[in-house]
Amino acid sequence: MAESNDRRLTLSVTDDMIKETLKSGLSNIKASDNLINATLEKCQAEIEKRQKNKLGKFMTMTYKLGAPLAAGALVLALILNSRGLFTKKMDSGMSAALQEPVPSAAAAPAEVATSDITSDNQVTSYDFAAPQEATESPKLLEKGNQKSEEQADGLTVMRFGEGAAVLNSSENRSANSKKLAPDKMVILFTAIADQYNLKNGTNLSLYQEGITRIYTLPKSGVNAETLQKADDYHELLSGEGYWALPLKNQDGIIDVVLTVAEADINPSKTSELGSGNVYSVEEREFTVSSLENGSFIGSELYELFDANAISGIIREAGYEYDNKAEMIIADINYGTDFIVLTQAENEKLVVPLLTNENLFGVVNRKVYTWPEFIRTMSSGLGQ
Amino acid sequence: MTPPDMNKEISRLVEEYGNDVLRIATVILKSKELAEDVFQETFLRVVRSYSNYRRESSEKTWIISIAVNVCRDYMRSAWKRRVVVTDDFITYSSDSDTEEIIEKRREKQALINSIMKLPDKYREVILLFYYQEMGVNDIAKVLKIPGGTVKSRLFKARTLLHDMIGGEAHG
Repeated sequence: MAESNDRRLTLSVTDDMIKETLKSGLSNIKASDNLINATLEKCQAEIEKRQKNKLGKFMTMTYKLGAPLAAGALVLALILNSRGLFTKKMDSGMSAALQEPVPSAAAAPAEVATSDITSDNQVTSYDFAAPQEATESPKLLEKGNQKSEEQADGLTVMRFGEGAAVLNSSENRSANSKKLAPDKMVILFTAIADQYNLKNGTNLSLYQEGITRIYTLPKSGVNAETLQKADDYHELLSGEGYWALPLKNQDGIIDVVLTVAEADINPSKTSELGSGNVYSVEEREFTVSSLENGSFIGSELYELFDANAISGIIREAGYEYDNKAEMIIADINYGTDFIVLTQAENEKLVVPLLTNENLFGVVNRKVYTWPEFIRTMSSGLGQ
Repeated sequence: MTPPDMNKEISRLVEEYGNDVLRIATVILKSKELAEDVFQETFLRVVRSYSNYRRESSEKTWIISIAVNVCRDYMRSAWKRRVVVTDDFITYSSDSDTEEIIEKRREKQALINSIMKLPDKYREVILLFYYQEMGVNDIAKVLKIPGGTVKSRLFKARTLLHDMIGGEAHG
């Protein structure tokens, strides 16, 4: 309760009087049954939605990991079988044939197959351990021997490897000089949302207040060394980015997040954008793709579309935050994880907004100073 | 936690802390309607952040902290401008009340009115300190400000209240 020094006032307004007045005055205010029931219904819907998202994410990852791993396993089985069938030939110098690259979509498993072929134990652990890991932990990036993902035909897939990990962004991007004037923006993006609905048979509405400019990292990515050399976060950005357009369903829940970049006039560059569909609006062309886990991001990372919520996080960390401060949101993991870059009290700050909790040791929604972030992320990236 | 267990847990939290959340929101936002919105949003955020709750602070501090944050988000939004001060605190008199009771009631009403007129940052600490009976350290956690700032705001808030009540009494 009140410390003694807080009770110094012996004026007409006493502590007890304030307390009693508030207690009796506020006792009239009670949550009605309707309010409680409506809240519980919303919470229940949220719980169910989160459960579905988790299952959806799990199924997606199972599919994504399962297909290449199954392909890898098949290749391994074939090779092992081949080794068995041609043991005598191997003895006569045919083993070199096994070292030839295997033409397969599952390049990484094939590499494992050719390099680890002499160890049955390793083969066994590859066959079974990896899918189990995916089942238990649907995180898109794993610490350790991890690799970032890449967009391919609209799907995000895992890339494994032995080298240092690299952060990178979604490939749907255009130069920041192509930023749009706010008045134009809403018209164009509403038209894009309409086209998306037409194309996909959906009835989603553009959440205008949530339209967010996302900055991207250089296409070569950012590794620990690049991070450590950067004096300022601007040095990590590519000068390109995309617009994130949250689309809400009829329940007011973000269902889809479109990434929109104005297509380059140069056709060859447009084609580099790859997975997106080109939408024409008012004689301008935009490459549009959707974040694969947009619904999940809409519920888990709602701050991404709410600058006030981000500034709230920063204030909660004890900083006096000026709403006019520059706030940059950067995509650091192919549209699944983001960082907010800003300043408060002359301190450069980084706030991770992650769907992969504790990505490279970085904690979701924690407010880092720039040096703290560099130290943590570099360490997680393997340097 | 399975969805049914989570539903039970949320029901428990709503039952246990719902009124506190509603009262805090009503005082901070001065609007019954907004307070009801905050009520819903607070518990939705509880659902979303439940897995991140590390129990470093008490359940009550955690939920109130979320409620205060939601209130702050609302205060920054345009809705605040449409707010009409609530009359939920008005203590109505009856014919059977004695002079003394009526006088007491007037005093309380004057005090409540004064609390509601305090600037947001002072109203928050007064509410958490006196109504929620939270210690300085917990208030500091909820408001994300140093303990010393909590104390100085409390002192300033009481001084303001005294001045306001005195002004009304003698004015």
